[in-house]
Amino acid sequence: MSGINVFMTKKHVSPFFKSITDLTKNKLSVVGFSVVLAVSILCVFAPIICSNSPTQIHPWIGSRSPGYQSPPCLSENVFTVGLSPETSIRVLGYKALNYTVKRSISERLRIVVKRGNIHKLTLLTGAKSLMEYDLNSGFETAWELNESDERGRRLPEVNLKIGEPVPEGLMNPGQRVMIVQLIKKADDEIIRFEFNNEIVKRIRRDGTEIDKISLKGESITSIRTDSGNVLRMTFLLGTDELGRDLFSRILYGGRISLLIGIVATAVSLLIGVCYGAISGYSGGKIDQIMMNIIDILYAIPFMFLVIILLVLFGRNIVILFIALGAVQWLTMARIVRGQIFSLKEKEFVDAARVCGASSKRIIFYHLIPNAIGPIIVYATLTVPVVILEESFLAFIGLSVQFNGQNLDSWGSLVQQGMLSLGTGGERYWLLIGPSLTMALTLFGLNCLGDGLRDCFDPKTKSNR
Amino acid sequence: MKNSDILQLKNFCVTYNTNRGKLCAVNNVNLRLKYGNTLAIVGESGCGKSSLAFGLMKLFNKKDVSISGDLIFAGENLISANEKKMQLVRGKKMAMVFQNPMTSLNPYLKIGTQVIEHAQRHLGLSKNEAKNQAISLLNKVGIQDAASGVTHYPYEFSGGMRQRSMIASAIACSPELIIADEPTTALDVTTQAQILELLSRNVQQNNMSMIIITHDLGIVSGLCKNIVVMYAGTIVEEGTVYDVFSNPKHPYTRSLLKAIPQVGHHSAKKLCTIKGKPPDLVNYVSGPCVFSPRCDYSKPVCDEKNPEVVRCSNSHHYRCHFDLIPESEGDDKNSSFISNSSHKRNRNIILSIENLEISYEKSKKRNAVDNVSLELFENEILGIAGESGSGKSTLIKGILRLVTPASGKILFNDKDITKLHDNELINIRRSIQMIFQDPYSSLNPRLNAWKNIAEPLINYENLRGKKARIEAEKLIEIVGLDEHHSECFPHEFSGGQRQRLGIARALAVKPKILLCDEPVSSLDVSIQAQILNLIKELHQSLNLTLIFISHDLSVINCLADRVAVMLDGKIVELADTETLYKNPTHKYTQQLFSAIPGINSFTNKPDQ
Repeated sequence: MSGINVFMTKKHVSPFFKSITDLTKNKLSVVGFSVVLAVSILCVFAPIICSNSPTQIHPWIGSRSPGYQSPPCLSENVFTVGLSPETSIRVLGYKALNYTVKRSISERLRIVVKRGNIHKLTLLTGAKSLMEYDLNSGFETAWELNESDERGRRLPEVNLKIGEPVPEGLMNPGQRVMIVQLIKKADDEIIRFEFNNEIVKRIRRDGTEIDKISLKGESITSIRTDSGNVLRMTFLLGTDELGRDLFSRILYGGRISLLIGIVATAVSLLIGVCYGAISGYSGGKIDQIMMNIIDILYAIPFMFLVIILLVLFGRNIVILFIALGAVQWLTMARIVRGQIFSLKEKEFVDAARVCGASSKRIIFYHLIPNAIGPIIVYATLTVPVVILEESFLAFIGLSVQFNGQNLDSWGSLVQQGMLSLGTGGERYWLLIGPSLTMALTLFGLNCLGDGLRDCFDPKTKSNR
Repeated sequence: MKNSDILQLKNFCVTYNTNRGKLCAVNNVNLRLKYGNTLAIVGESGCGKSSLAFGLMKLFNKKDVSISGDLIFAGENLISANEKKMQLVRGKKMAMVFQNPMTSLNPYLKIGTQVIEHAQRHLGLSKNEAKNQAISLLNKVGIQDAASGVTHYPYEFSGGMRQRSMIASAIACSPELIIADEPTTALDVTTQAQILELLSRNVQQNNMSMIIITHDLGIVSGLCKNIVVMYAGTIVEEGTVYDVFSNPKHPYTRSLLKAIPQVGHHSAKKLCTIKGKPPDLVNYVSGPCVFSPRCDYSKPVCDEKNPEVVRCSNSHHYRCHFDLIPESEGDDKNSSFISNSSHKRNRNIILSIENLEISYEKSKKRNAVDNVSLELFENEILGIAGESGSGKSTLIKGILRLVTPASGKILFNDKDITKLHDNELINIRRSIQMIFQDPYSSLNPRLNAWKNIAEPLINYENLRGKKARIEAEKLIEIVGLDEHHSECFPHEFSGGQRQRLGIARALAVKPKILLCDEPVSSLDVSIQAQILNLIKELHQSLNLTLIFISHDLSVINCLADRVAVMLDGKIVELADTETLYKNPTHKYTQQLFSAIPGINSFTNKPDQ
């Protein structure tokens, strides 16, 4: 036998991995891949990364800008000796904590109006009638109380005098009686809790020990350990109107968005690749009919169909997977069909037939792996499209649900951010945070897809 | 003027900047071409011939490829000429005919427009003048009805007509130098002869100079005065065609010449081959002789230093340490095959084809295979010759039912293949295997070597995993590759090695009949000889019956016992090889023979 030039290369790189290694030379796609990877890791490990729960509300905080810090507590914090405390988990694990609590003195003022003039002013404690009261004096804030004794809006600091007309903005026109809550700040007090294995051992207030105390979240100004460390919860990207942490909401929302993107793409891959491969391999009449079906499906305005499906069958996440996947497979099927159509003319397909391979084997073992490049590229580019489509649905109020609960995705976060932006855009962070995250991820995915396209398509290869 | 040089290259280098490093495709080439002369550049693929041609016209992107040395064309050094200057030279003074006429014409532009495109620019012709000029050019290159030809689009032209149009385009400005880069490689033998005749006629008439690049030594002899043999980017031998062919000094030239199968060559003799393949020139540093690893005459000194250029006459130079003595005919070291005359007495019919007709849906006018009857005897090699489109491939695809015959019978083992059900067909395909034409597309690029070869074992013999691999590795060794190749992917092999894998796959299930569909048409001469030898060896050792298709009569001659000549789907002549070659009766067969480039004229001293 004539001698063959022996080449002793150690590694035998399959064409697939060769393409992947080429990808590392494309800077933009490496950046894209890193961005996507980073966002995915953050989202997947959100429960570990986020210290604040995305659903925990802190109403007294309200909407705060990025970087806001507050003592870790709930709306109602109950400490009972012998039980574990009902409060934010961030305070657990300490031996002793010193809470600084705002003490407030509350007083109620009753205003009665007759013919547009103030008729009577009564301080309810001690039923003391007054001739005149300045809402600006003594007490710090004045709030309206409704019938069920709940605090309403904060009242302007005006001067009230019997016999004079009601100052503008104080009461609704036609309102006769109004109860005003007056709150006066007093000195802060320090309450000390001692814990043993996360169970309250002792509560000490003003030097005396008590058994049980309930603290409102809004009254706690700081929490210190014995060594003087201040406990805080930080809202990296600020909070929404209910005081929920936007950062954790974005990460948890990302899980939904990415999940939908990946699963819907997987659905479209499964249907599209099989359909396209069978159509392309069969050729002739079968191919024509199968492609005509796709043409017909293309003609249906799919967004409406998805909306109708969601309205009819509920906004279940499974329905959304199917609905979005069903839209995307059409293009995938066309791409795969085109690939298979040209691949089946290659001699190795004839060779496989001569080697006794069945049609199934030829399609799935010989043809599809050779079309893997365009498939991967298109799948990578489908994920952002699906994410955008889901965001669109969430934006128009059709956010997904699971077991009847709304699942916030990036789309619904953007929508909520837009609604609570404020007239001058004061709460810009509510819109910018989720929008920017989504944009960054989509950018990353698109760059990655473009990079993959260059790697798998030999025509655009710049290296020889 | 007559004796001055139109082209002079001094230390001309073309270097590609690849990801792996610098690839020196043309390495310090010194070359002279006189006005009105014709020069052939020959060598295997990958030896830098095309890079040299592209470098002459500076058709490379500056970023990817750097050119250095002196490039003196018509008394002007173009090495530092900018793109604008080169645009004035290209087409007007230096024109190029490309290899593949199927892709070198823009399918969206009319032939006339493309033929006259650059002439119009350079000469400033008006629209009407341009059209008339285009018509006269097409007339000149022998396109009938040129007036309507100019309005045609490329797809309406055949390959030969497209190449004629390309030539018309090249001579449009009467350039001083024409560079033809493998102008006939993509064409049939008969067309090839016409195109070469046309090229040389036009060059002579217009007093142009020509550089013709080819891997086919056969076409050189009648066409050119001088020849340059390139190997691994360097010129290893140059001289007049007569000198080089009658007294090749470099071992590479000698091997190339001997590897060509010749009409009239005794078919029982092994063809000479060159072992291995051209070296990888990435980050190449000149040191030892580049050819030494493949050289039969290699001695220790070859691995030590690069040989100097030796001048054995005024025009004949070569680069070797030794002065080889000319070999006489009888002193052939190559072993010959065992005489297979005994097989010829065995006349058992193994396969018979009766009135077979195959037609493709698209062209209903004409059958691709038209009323073909054929008998295949056990243990013979039947050659089928014919141009592309003559239905040779379709015929053997019909035997395997890769295409479904319209009518007729194919009898094998008393069964009619055309009427078999799919399950039975599997048994037939097991006994009849096939070697495909294009080794680059006949292996699945996503599977490594042993998986590709194991495919029939998996499907027919239900071998899985390790067992299949062991069998596949045995086959890899049978076809002359090493065991460690089994993990390699097709892209890591050269064309010849791939074709060996294709043969291994065909042999996997021990077929009775092996169909070979132009297995060597896309390979270099040296590699072609290796593959032909391998096929012949296997034919004898494995008791195979072969149908061997080729458009090259000289290839068929060295293998086949009987030859069938096909034309337009019909068999026009069928005879024993010797009978056919001595005495072709059909007009078309005679035409085929006359079209074979004059390899026999090697030793004829040129007239001048």
